Amino acid sequence: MHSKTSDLLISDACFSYTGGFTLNHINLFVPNGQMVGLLGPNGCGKTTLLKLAAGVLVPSEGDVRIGEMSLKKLLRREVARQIAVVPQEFNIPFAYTVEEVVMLGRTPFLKGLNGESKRDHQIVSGVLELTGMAGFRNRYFNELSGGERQKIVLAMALAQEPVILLLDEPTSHLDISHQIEILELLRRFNREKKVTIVAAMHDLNLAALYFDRLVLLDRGLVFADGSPDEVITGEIIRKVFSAKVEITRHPKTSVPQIVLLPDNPSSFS
Amino acid sequence: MRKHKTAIMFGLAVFLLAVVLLSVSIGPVRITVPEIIKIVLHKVGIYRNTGGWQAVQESILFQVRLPRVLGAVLVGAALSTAGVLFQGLFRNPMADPYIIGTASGAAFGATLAMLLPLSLVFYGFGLVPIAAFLGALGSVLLVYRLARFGGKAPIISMLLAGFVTSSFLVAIIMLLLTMSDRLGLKIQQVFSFLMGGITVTYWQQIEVIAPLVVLGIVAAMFFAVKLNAFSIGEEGAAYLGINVEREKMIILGVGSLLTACAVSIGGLIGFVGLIIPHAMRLILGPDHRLLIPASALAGAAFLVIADLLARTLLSPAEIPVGVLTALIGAPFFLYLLRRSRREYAF
Amino acid sequence: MKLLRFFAAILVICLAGLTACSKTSTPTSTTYTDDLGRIVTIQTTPHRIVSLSPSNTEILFALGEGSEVVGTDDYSDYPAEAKTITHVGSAFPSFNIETIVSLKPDLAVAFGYTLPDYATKLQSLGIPVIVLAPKDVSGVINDITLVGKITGAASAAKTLTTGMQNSLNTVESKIKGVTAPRVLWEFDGTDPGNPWVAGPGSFNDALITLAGGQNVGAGGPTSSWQMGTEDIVKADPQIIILDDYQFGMTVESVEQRPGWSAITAVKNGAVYPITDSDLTDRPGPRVIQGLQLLAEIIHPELFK
Repeated sequence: MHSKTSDLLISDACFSYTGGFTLNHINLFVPNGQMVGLLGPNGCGKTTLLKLAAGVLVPSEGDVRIGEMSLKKLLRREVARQIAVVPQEFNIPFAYTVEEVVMLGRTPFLKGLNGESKRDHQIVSGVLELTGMAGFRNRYFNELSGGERQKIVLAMALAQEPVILLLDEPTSHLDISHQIEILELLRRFNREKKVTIVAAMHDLNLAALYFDRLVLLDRGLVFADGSPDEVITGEIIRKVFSAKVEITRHPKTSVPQIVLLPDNPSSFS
Repeated sequence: MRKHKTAIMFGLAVFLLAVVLLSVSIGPVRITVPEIIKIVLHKVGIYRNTGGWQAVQESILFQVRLPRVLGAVLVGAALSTAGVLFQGLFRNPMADPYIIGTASGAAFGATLAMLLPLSLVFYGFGLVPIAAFLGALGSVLLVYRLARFGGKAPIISMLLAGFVTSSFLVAIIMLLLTMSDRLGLKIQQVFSFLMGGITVTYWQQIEVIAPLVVLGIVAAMFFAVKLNAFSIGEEGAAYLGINVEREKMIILGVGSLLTACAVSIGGLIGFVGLIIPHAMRLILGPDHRLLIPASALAGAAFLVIADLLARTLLSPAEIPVGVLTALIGAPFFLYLLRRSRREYAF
Repeated sequence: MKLLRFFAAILVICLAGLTACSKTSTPTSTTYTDDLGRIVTIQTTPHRIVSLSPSNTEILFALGEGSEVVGTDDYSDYPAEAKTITHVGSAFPSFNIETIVSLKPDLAVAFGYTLPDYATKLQSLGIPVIVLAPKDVSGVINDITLVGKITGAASAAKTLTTGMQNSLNTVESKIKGVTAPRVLWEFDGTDPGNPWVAGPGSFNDALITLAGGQNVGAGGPTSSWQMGTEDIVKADPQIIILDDYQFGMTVESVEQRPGWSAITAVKNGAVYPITDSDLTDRPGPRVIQGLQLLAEIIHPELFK
């Protein structure tokens, strides 16, 4: 059962693994169709926030809603039909083909002993096309390169036909060209299918380039939330990342880009 | 190979039937296949003529051989299916049905029963198989409880708890044995149990175990899709909409039930639950919807053959079936591995 | 000079005296060969004996040496007086070596078809160990003779063994030329489809043959092995002996075992429980009674 709208609302959510606070009264509203980048140093709670948004973790206080429905009230299966996740790590110890892996994305829709329907196969084909991996259909997943695998994992998540797509550092292990590929795909998907995207990013420049809105977390709290111009400032970066940077403008799109400053610039010339 | 799925399933079923017929016809009392067919059809009411076989053949066929071979079918199917379930759940092709302590639990129950001066027969089951069954289930429950923390029972914790429980139970078994009377005979009996062997004496045992095993396999097939999802890990499975803790418990439960059933009529037969799922995965691919029924059929056939060899190779003495499953299984498995080296590139 | 000769004389006298003393305190030692072919030297006639098996205890008591038994294994229970003697453990899991040593025995009588570790241990502690391992009734008779010699009860042994030999001869002569029926000896039928039976080389196998029977289990691999129902049906014993009656096995339950109705012994109601297993399973003086019991079962027409 779908909610009336598919806005994502995290209200006043708290969560801790053991002892101290991982997430502390987080409020985040992502309207349908937005593409949001989650930033922050390691351990700030990005992954935890994504898991709360996906419904696999339950906040100790506060609530997570999709549209009007609280995730707590939905079955896992119902949630998976609307929210898909591309996790940071992905390995399969068995020899599945690419097609089989992408088909796993249809799991929330498969019933009992029935096989896949024609529609399921159509969706899988469509998603393989979208990600440009149609030619890899019968290859073994484990034999692909890192970049190729990431695209397949993305395809699998897309096969769930989600209204909200969550990604945990989707570009961190990839070559530059693959990073661009993935982000271009996400942007296209967001623009064309109106899928809401929330992605944890570690590369600030790529995040500024591809995301309309950036949310910066620091030690379980939202430190900054706004456009790249508002969030990527020298002051904020210094405060949160303890790094000295200079802000320049991207030559083509004029979004802010950070340039790292070494401690002793004079030793370089 | 993956394309001819229905053909392979059908082939496996026919192979199983052939192997069963063969096994039933071989033994100290000679019964030929035509005689078997005549006797069975007569029993069922289709074939009216009597004569053409001796009374002792009919008696041996129905009272000794058929129950035993059917026992082998059930044990082989149950262990293979349990193996598939555990390998899928633990995402580990080296998992076998005994991985979380079912073996030591069953051995513990069986040893206790062997040492008690009680004798009871319940639907053809003596105290030993019943205790083995309960022991197997009991140890899984214990392991699950030990591994459970904060509402979740992570796989790694279960493996560790399984190891600890096993070691502990084995130590107690040794202790009980040293304190017992008739130690020489008891050691022989426990050894027999540990080595494995089909001990079906009464039809009632089949009547009790068969429905349980069939139920277990059918239940396993209902979980095939979910097991496929588990291949990407517990976290990934959750993202795909699987209620991980609940499904894990159910799958563990079904797998343990199947293992307990197998142990109650076969003792601790190793290798079947490990290599049959493995072999089937290498031949047919990792989709559990195919893997489960194929493994059940192949496992049943494999064990019928192993049991046949066990009771004929050194007749009248019997080789423990567990020894044969290892002797046949290991080389065959090596062969399969070499043919498909791409399977386990992590 | 005189003093020197005086002292020398005293020295010689002392030395002579000493050697004379030690000579009289040197006992005569004898060597014996036990059933495992070991040659054991025993210094004096033993008067403090430890028996390490129930059959050995029975032998010692039958020879009138009961009063010299200072320790027995946990299972020695015949005759009744044996029960009150200090227990020293049993073969499984282990004898209590310390207890044995504390009893200061000058002989230990053990049992075993291979040399037990504890025998070596006791020997190294200075206690002579005789190991008995009779294969049949004649072997028991030889053992009784041996023990009689060692314990100085040779004449009691002679009387006992003569009687045993006579009984043995009587049985032998009666069964001469008579067809030997097929006999199954069941040790343990807990698994009714695969009972443990007496195999070749076992004591019970020898007993069956002596009593004029033919052990169907003799085709097996070891002295005790599991024989499957089919093999039993094929061998078709005419008599079945239940040595596990002592553990609760009943004739009715045996007759109802699946597939067993085809066996001649079951059809003729020739399934016999052994009410006192000690008579047939203990290789001691009462084994003759066991033999006679068995002969009566196997050849009722000759021995009633």
